[in-house]
Amino acid sequence: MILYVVGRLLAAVPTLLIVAIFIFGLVHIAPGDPAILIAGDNANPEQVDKIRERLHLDRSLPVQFGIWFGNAVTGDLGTSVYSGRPVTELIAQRVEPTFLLALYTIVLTVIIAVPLGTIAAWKANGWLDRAIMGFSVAGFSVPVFATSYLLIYVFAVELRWFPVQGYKALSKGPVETLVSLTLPSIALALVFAALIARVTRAAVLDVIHENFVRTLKAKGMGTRRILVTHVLKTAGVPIVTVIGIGLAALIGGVVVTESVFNIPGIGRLTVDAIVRRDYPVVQGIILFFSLTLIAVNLVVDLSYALFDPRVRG
Amino acid sequence: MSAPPLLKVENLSLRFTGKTGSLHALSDVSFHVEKGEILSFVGESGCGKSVTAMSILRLLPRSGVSYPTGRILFDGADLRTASERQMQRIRGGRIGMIFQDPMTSFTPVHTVGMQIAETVAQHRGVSHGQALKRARQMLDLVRIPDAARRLGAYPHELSGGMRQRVMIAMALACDPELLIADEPTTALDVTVQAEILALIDDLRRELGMSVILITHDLGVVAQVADRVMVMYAGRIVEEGCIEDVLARPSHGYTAGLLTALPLPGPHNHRTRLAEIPGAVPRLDREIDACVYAERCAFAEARCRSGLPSLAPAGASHRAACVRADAVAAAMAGNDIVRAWA
Ligand SMILES: Nc1ncnc2c1ncn2[C@@H]1O[C@H](COP(=O)(O)OP(=O)(O)OP(=O)(O)O)[C@@H](O)[C@H]1O
Ligand SMILES: [Mg+2]
Repeated sequence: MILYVVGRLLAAVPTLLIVAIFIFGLVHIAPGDPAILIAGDNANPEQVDKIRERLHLDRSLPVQFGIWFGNAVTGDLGTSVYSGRPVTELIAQRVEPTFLLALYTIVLTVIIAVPLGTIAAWKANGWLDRAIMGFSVAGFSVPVFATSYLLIYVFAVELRWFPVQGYKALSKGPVETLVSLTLPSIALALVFAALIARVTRAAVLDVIHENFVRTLKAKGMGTRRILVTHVLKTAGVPIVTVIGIGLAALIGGVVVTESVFNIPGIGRLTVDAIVRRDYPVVQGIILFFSLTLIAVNLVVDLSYALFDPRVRG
Repeated sequence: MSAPPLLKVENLSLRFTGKTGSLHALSDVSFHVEKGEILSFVGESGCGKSVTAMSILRLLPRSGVSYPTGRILFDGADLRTASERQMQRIRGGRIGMIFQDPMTSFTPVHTVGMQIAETVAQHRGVSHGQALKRARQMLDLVRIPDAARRLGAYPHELSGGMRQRVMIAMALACDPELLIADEPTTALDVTVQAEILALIDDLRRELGMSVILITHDLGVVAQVADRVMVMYAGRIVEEGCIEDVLARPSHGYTAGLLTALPLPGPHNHRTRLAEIPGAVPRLDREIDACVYAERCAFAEARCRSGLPSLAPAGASHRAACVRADAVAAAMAGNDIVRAWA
């Protein structure tokens, strides 16, 4: 078990290096002088020179990478070209809403999708299965912003159950925070749940015809226990994998949702940074997302061992 | 008057209906199981042994299966009309079942201790700790060494024979009155087969339970069964106590099985009984002749013109064969028959 964990941790190191090189290269792959690119169209030559100096663009590429990587490891991702503030600080300020939004979305998704997918598989090809899979296709094909506006119209404008937009920080009370994040989380969860429900159904269907299910019936176990304690746990590995992959897909959704609901998270920071060509911030955000995904992958890998004793080796 | 049988199946017929038509999987099957005896079902693949067993516990899917006739009386109550809740109490409680492939018959992701214990908890409503204690006792009962440690083993960590022992322990954990064993030794190698059979035989004596033992193998039957029921194409073709049937086989199909059986000896591994020439009839319609006539070495014209009913062929012995006497006479020279006569 410990060997397995250490192995997974080591396997993440090369991934990290590749990500770092990619992010570093990002500014240099673009055609033209990165300094001019960063400075923008209206900059004068002095400004361009200053940027070149600050980003060490006059040195050789490997040296530049060394400097950048060394700084990044110590948490220094440079400063924003736009506001002049450290990138790390900008990101840290925006982490809370995004993190909570993602977490809330995942919890909602799992609560909705795993039971629905399981029921669909259990009643495979019945009307309930068709209804659930129909919902899942719909959830997947409607864009996030469309569901978001629909949710806002119904639950915020008409029913007034939730605020139209905005975010209440945790420091002002967790209930307020939860309320402010409910509609955006639902909007995201609908897409995400469509995916997870499908995968759950497929994974459960794979398992439900196995001999051990017949044994459980022959032992007098009830349907619910058979499905939850035995079938779902056996089918757990593919489901958790897709939840992990789905999280990557979620990042794109977070950017859109934060814009629609005016939530001051990383998604909004991303949009702003791209519009302003604030390259250090863009780099920092990509690095942050990459690290998050690597961490999620690690957690997913480790959870395999939790579900399946055969993985522990 | 003898005690009423524990299980009495009367005129059971079963059809699988699907888009492609219907399959007469069982036709007019009647038999009983006495308290404390081992009744064995034999017959080649597809003859309906498993389907009969699954019908008793109602383990077949509900859609696509119909029972035109029949009752299944367990301790006097008809299981065909029992509620799902009653069935749930009987399954694993009063009737235990074990299956052919002990590898795939366990949940792969739970320990065997948990899987035995949950059965106990389900039927006895005891605490987890007590259920685990019972699981340990059961592993001892099926002679698994180092039982306390094995409780924490996952199915893939045990050998095939060990897994089948655990399977038996699980099926017997709630003291069932009837154990249904569907080819419990087919997936195991020969020496382990004999051990498992001996274990089942011992346990039914120790615990006083009845056993339905399903097998392809007449050798297995001869070893442990009290009575035998020979099935062919969804019908019972011969049935009786083991001494009578083996000493005086009275159906062409039983004769075929006995002839195909390799003699006991050091180099004779038991093989599946597929050596009888010809194929099993299609079961997509009612057959009004002897189902075995097409392959039977004893068949005459009258075998193909009417359905023979099960008629007495001895004191506790019935056969559905109009040539019963001729079969018995012809088989008198067979080694197995001579050994039992
Ligand atoms: N779920 C099902 N749907 C349709 N037909 C089935 C189903 N289960 C069994 N059958 C058919 O019913 C007949 C009897 O099958 P059964 O499994 O009882 O045979 P068996 O005697 O146990 O054979 P084996 O020795 O191979 O286990 C076979 O023709 C089989 O194809
Ligand atoms: Mg079978």
